[in-house]
Amino acid sequence: MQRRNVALSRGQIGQLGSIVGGLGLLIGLLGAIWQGGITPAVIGLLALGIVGLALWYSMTPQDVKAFVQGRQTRYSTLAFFSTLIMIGIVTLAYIFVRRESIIADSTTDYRFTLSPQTHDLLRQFERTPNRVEITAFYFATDVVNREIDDQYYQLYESASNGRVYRHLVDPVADPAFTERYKDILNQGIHVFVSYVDETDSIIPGTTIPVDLTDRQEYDLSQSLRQLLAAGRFKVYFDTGADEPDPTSNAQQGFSLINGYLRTNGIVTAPLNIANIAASQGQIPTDTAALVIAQPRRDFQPAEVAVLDAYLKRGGALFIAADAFLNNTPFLGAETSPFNAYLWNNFGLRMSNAIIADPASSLQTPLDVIGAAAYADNAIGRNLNIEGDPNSRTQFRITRAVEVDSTPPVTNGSVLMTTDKAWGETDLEALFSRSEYTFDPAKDVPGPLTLVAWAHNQQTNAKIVMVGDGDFMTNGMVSSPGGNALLVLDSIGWMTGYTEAVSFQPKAYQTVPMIFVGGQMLDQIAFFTLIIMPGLMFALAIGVYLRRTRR
Amino acid sequence: MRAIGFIVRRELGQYFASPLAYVIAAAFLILTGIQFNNDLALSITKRPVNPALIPDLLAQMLILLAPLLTMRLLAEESREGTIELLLTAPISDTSIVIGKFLGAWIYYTFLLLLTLPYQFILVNISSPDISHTFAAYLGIWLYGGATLAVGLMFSAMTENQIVAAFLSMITLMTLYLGESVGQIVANTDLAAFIFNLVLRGHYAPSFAVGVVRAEDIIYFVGMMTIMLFIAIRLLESRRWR
Repeated sequence: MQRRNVALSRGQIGQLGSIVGGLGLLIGLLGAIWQGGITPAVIGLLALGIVGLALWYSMTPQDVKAFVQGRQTRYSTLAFFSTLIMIGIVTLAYIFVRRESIIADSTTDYRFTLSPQTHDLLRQFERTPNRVEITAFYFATDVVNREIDDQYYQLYESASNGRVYRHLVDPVADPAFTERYKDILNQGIHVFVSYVDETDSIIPGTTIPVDLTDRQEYDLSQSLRQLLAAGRFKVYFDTGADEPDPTSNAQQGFSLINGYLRTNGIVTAPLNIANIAASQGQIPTDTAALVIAQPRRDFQPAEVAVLDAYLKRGGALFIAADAFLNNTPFLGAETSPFNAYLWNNFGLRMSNAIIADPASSLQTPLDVIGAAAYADNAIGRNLNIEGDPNSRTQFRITRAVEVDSTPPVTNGSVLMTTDKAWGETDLEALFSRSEYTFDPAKDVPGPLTLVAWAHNQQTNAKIVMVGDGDFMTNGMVSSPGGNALLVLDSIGWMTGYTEAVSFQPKAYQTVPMIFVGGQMLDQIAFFTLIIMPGLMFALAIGVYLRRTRR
Repeated sequence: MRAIGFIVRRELGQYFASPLAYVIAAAFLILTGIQFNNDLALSITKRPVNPALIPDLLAQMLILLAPLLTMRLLAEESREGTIELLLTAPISDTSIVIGKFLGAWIYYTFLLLLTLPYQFILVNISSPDISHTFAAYLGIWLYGGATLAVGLMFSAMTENQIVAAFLSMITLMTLYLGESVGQIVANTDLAAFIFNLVLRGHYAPSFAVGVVRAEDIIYFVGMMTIMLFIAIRLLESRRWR
């Protein structure tokens, strides 16, 4: 086998040295930038680069001199560095202008300009002891939305002089922090406002979620209002008459409603009216509203006295009563002293009739949706809105509420059945044999009231009465959303929470939808797809002909 | 300035004296017209019309349009040897590059103006947010200027028009796809940083939603300045290469 000798000239070795040297230095410098410092690998690459350059110089010193002093090198170096300087100038100008955040909002309704209402709201945070953090979660895939939303966060930060500041979180980069928000993030909410302590750590229990839509300012300001109101309203759940535990997450528990209230900054706690009555005490003075839901027995006169004292000083009572076949049913029509008290003082009472509504029902006529919602009051306006299935209410085995037409205070209905409904009075047949047919002699003809309200203008006592306790359990409030709305709006109306947190939005211009007929569409298509391009083609032909004639 | 004016007039003369300019305009109108009519049909009774529809569409079209408009500017002159005449004429390299760029930008502006009838139609059948539309048009006008500058830079780099068009298309595609950087980069801060480097990052969250930010204007003007500066240096390099 013949061996071939490979001969390398000094020039070739020098050329190799220049390549190795140049690449070594370049990769070394890039590595230093990438690593953010000098690492052993970077040192190795730089050393290799220097060795390569030294080899180049030692092998072909005249080439190195020509390279450094040559005309091409001089000009190209000048061009390279002048370009770098130009890039530097532009970058500096960009950074300076970006820092100044000069923007012009050209939208007709000034969507990217904070309204005077928001400025007023932000001034209130100058008096709060804690700063507010807008915590917003964005994945890398949401970068466009992040950039758009961040413009709003910056507006809040700037208008509040930093009292409200933003914290953009990458769930991938900060999984431990994200874990705390995991449940609500899964519901599609990714922005929150919270108070922070002096170390900028979020104060537990002060976080309000922001349901961010394309009306970012309204949504953010509304949530900031809720944050301002947080802790000012306390709602107690009675547990003294064997009602379900308000924190129970069982199907029959109230943990979801409890959670919704807390999410809105309302403090909730259990309360035992029976114990208060036994100790001749009173309902706590910090009570914004008292919820009596699904009691298993009726209230004793001593408990009624406690509630009377509470209502006389302007209390708010939310009553959700189920039908039970026992000797002392809660608010039994004939037997209950509390039912009589409510009728005499507020013109409302619970009947023993169970509503069956063939015209507004689900599986059976006993599963009532509620046909008519009174939109003229604060409780009914968001319920059973046509075209919005999520506002639908749903009740199961519901007692009809009687509303006095000549009441001692103002009162009214919130939800009614259809006129096809009736109140079944034969509870024995209904519960034991599932039989219910309208008997004109005994049953109550519809329409019947499912939910009613009363307001004593003098004492400011407010009552909302619902003929069903199941409707606000965990199994009934998650979907559809009308049941939860009914509870939340009732609490909001009774406690004054709704007015406290309501944010008057600025007038957003609603761009009208287009209503044009098919003929008009055809005309537009003809003009834009035939006439306009046709004109250009005609011009092209004209130019072509003129040129060829020459 | 007179030299720049001379080059601009020469370029515009070349554009508008050629039937190709009008064929491009017709093709451009067919593409935008299809999108406009399609969006109109989808909007009827369902949603308000998008004020930035045409500018948004142009942001995509410019990936193809800008290289088409700029690929011949300097590459053709080099290939045909007419660049020598220009370089020996009493006109500076800066005037040549700026003049050619302005010529292309004016032609692009002409194309942009051709889409205004769509807005007149919308005004007659709806009440679109005109000032929002104006911001979007301003944005896409600057965006177009930046893409044309990129195309011109590549045209100055090579004598081959196809190579120039291909390189600028790849570059513009990369600068456009910055919006999708989150699909390949898991880190949000890095994705946001890259997004702020690319063309879409200075159009989509601002001009397209009706906000005119000084930083975006600086970005586009800066991009044009840098690209034209490099193009001038490349042209100048013919004298000492």
